[in-house]
Amino acid sequence: MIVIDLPADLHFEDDDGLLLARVSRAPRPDLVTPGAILVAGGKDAWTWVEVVATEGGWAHLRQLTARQAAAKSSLVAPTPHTA
Amino acid sequence: MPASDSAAGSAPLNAHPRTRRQGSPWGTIETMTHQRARRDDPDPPLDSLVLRGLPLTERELRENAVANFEYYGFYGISVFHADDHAHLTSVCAAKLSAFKDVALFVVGDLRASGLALWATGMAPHYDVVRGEGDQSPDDLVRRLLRTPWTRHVNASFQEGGD
Repeated sequence: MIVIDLPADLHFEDDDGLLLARVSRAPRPDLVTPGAILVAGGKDAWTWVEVVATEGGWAHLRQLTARQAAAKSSLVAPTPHTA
Repeated sequence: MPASDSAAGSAPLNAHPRTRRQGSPWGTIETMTHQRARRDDPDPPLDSLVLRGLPLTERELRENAVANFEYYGFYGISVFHADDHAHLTSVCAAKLSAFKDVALFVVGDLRASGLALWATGMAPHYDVVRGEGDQSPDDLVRRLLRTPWTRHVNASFQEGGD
């Protein structure tokens, strides 16, 4: 099961072509920090992202392939049973 | 001023991030909006295509418009533009690979619905807008949902958007 770390509209881009999302929408806003590898999107469409920057409650996100994400981070989130 | 302004007024070309006051039941809220870069692109041809991943729901379109307002100071719905069906394939692969299906709008149909396209951010990103001074996202969302579109099965779909 995929866990969405940061709800995001995957069309909404900033002037650098990075995705924009509100940090406050994250179930764990404290995880939305520069360099973090997260799953962004929604139940219909999601993607791996790297948090490039945060400012004023917004996160700027670079889309990654699964291969790129795996090279940077574990892609398996702890569950309540294993955390 | 980009020529694409003609259908629905000109863009608020924010010179600098600025503070905007909004009324709310809890008092005045000050929010910071940002300058939005607009490309000096020619008008998209009327027979060219505008893409957005499915589903198109009123809630999601409204949320995008409101988020754009909060960040950039105007109501806009993010889409991608393709000149033709060959370009469509590359845009789907580059920007919409997380979506199984994509809605295809024809630029002329958007214009007929009273909507404009602003070339914002980096190509092929555009904002569908109603016009400068739009006070709510409701009319924008309603007009977009009433505009004809066709479903395109995205051959580049990869779960997770690879």
